[in-house]
Amino acid sequence: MKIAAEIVALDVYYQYAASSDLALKNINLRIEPGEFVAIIGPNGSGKSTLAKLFNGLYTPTEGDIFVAGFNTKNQDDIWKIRQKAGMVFQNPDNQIVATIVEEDVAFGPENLGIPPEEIRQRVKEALEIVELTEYADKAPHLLSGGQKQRVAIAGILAMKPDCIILDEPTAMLDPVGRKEVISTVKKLNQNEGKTIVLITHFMEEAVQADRVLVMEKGKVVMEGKPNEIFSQVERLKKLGLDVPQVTELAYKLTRDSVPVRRDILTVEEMVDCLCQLM
Amino acid sequence: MSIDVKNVTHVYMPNTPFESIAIKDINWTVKDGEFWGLIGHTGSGKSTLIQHLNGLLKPTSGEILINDINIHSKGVSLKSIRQKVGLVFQYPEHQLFEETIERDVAFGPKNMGLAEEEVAKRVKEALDLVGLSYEEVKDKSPFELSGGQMRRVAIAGVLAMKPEILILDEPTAGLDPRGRDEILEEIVTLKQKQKLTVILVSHSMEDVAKLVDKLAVMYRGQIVSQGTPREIFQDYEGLVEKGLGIPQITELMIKLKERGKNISTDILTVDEARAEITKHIRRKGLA
Repeated sequence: MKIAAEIVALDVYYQYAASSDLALKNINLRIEPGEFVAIIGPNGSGKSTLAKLFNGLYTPTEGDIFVAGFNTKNQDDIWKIRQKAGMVFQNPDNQIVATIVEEDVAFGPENLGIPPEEIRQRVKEALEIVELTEYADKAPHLLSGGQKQRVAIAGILAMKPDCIILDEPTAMLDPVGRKEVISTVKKLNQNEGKTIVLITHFMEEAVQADRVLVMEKGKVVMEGKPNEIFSQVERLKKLGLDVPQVTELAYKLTRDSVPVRRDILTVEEMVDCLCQLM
Repeated sequence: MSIDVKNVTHVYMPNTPFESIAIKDINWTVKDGEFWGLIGHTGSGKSTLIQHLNGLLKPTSGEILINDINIHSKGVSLKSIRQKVGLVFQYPEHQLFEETIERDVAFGPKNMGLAEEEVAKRVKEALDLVGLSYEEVKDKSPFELSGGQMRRVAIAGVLAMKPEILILDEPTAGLDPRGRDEILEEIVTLKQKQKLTVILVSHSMEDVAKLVDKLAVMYRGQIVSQGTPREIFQDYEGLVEKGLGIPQITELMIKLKERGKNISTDILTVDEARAEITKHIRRKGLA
């Protein structure tokens, strides 16, 4: 069965062996090639579980997940799936395996059995994309948190995936590190055409996506463009989520009858909007 | 309880090829009852510094004074220092290990050699302080809880030792917005109720802007500036150069000012911005 989308979930349920509750309930979604999707939701809402289903680390208890047309339940295709959909995790220190940056980036393609000449080429390209070429021969522990995460991203890129799934990649980073990682992610999407699935608790990051999925208790409860989602300030707060500070400000200003748009997501939009009024 | 950090330098693995200076010539005074935020890029030395404050690390040179007493001088019990200066590490839930929540929280006070009734009383109080019901959770395994709840149990374990200074290393990392707000509110309440001195290490400029009285900024092993959040967050570019930032709402006000608007940039919260902008617009008669 061939399904023409990057990732498709059909009637997916997932239950952890030790638990009596369902971690995911009746998930149906499609992620198109080249799309940038952010997933937000409270802790325990099923975001990370879903991400692990997307690259075949878990298989659905019921239903099916297709990655580039391959069913993740088919164990024969599992390596193709992992190569198509790479994952980046929260803690940069847990993802680094080598003592030199370029060796770390080469680890994935080496395991795919790719010829050394081609590996060298891939490592070079991947480091260029994440802008760490000058660090190729450095020890990873000397890098900042943001740089380490970019090394982890380069390691995934060297496997030439179509899709990259990032599970809270900025949770442990300082503000500049967070910005570095998110601008790298945007570049991968816009310049390299990679499909991106970004799980995050930072709303300023989620607003950068083409589409936002909101999860609660194992279900997708809201879905839409960032401005459609984040203008629903009260509903998000009820879900235990947040909106960017400028979006909250827009919401509060409209209550004071200041005529600003309710769906403002970034500082720049708010500056432009207020400059017309002030 | 007060802390004085005097000319403290710490060198990891001195006299080896791996020698590295983690913190350099730190001078910092935290007075009794103050609420400090400590910010800095990853690897700037924040964690090394705070581990000096309860004697887990010993300065290579310099002194740490708690209530004017050098904690590494003869006759000072580091055990009692560690009880007075409670340190909650990053991801403290990874350090939970007992079979029940009651036993986990009791671990610290038991090690202090307290009588059984006193331990039981403290466990109850500490769980209560972090917003967990003793009766509901005492027999549960810590591992049955959500991330935010596990973190509260870990904080309760430190509170059960009745510290006078509480140091928290990124207590909200990885928590969802509600979990983050709940923990921060509890820290504020605790500080008031227990009259604690608090140091909060954080990567969230929004959180420290809302909460703390004073900020220390670390950069490459040194404290490079100290002041109130209002003072510190005026230097947007300087902070970005140091791997940091400012709250989004403060950034908005600075950018409005750059566009020639006569508006205050001394703004740390959404509500302050709302008041300032509304005032400005009303003056113009637009709303």
